[in-house]
Amino acid sequence: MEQLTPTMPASQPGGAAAVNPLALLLPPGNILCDLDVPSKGRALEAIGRLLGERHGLAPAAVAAALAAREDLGSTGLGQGMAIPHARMKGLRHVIAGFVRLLLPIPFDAPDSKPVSAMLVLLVPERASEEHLQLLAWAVQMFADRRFREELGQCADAEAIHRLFACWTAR
Amino acid sequence: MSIRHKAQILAEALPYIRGFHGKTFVIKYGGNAMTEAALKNSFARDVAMLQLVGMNPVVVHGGGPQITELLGKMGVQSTFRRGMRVTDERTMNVVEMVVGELNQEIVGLINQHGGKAVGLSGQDGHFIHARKMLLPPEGDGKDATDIGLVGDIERIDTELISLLHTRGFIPVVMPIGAGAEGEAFNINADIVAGRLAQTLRAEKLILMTNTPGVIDRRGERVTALGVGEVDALIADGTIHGGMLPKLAAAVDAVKGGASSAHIIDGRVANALLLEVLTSEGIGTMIRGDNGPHFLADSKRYLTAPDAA
Repeated sequence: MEQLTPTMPASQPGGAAAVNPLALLLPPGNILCDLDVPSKGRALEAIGRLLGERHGLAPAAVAAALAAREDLGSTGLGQGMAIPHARMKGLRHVIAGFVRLLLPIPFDAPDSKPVSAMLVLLVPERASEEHLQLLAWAVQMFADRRFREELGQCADAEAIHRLFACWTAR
Repeated sequence: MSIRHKAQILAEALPYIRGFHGKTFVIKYGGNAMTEAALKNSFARDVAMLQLVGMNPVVVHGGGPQITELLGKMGVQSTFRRGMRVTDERTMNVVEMVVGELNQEIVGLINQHGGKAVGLSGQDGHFIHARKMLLPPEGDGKDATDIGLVGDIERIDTELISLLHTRGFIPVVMPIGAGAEGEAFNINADIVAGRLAQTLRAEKLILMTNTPGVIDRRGERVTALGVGEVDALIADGTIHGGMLPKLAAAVDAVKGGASSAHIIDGRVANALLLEVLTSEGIGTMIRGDNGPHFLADSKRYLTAPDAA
């Protein structure tokens, strides 16, 4: 996994009383547990339906934007984790979703391993440094082995939401 | 564990088996995994299983400690130059005898667990072409240092290995190469494994060691490294000692065409299954600088002028 040093001053990982900014963006209703799909394409479609319905976006447009980003290079990180993301026209604020898959799916990740969990971020068209920091934060969170293990053991969306809220950088 | 839970675990292996079906894995076998009875059985079971679910393993082994032990019993002191065993004719006879015996033992173990292993030396079908290795002169000397019958690999013909794979056999290779006149050369097993992984364009080169992998300055295992990051870690002393030749074999393999190389802990039971069939992997992965790099790709994407 890549090295990074997030620099968002208000909520820097490792800083005192840092609040995980991802937890604030991720209500339990945006979390899908044990989604049963056979491929990356189907997973992105399911995410389009979930976030489209909850935030008034066209599901097909969400799936297409996420797929376009994947074409630049897989958003798989390794160790079964991925962070699909996309810039969306007309979006005013960041939308996050999380999907845990029933069985891992092929994802062209750098370690060639299939992916079992995806954090999804939709960001406004005019991207800022803040959005890159959110991605960096997510990468660091998924690099934490204990977090990955606990993620697999969560019983439901509420538990996953609480896990995100409790996570602090080591 | 309930039957339901067991079934779930088996079902979870499917995506990994599917992803690696028909792919070649070159496994350098050595360390404790080759000397402790329980680990030997676990290794042989893992190799048989990987083949039976559709992958193409190749096992490469050396026999360094066992060779040194037998020479010692014969009253011969082993000498090394830059990690290479100085090999005169008597030593070469011992090398061939010891690695040949180990080879048959490994073949037998894999076969006991349901695999179809075939023992090979680089002389079989003349598939490893070797030439005498010459080390640069030492001290003030002008002549190359002669270390006897130690070989460098000239080239490898993969036809024999591919033929065995197409019929479901598992090649088990001892590190003996053949010179132009058919003479035998002793070759370092890490080098043989690395070159085989390159030539076969293997999915993974897996080096089984007695370490947890590359350890960083905080004492934690590094899970992944790009080939471009290795030099800096050697320069600052993070990678040192016995890890250096392993890293060199890994970097060469990846630069030469293997998808990735893995330095794993052979002291862990079922090390191979954990590495290949679970999300975590158990050692350090070395991969090429090509392919996706999440943060760099994301930065490029987020700062491009037009959104989709």
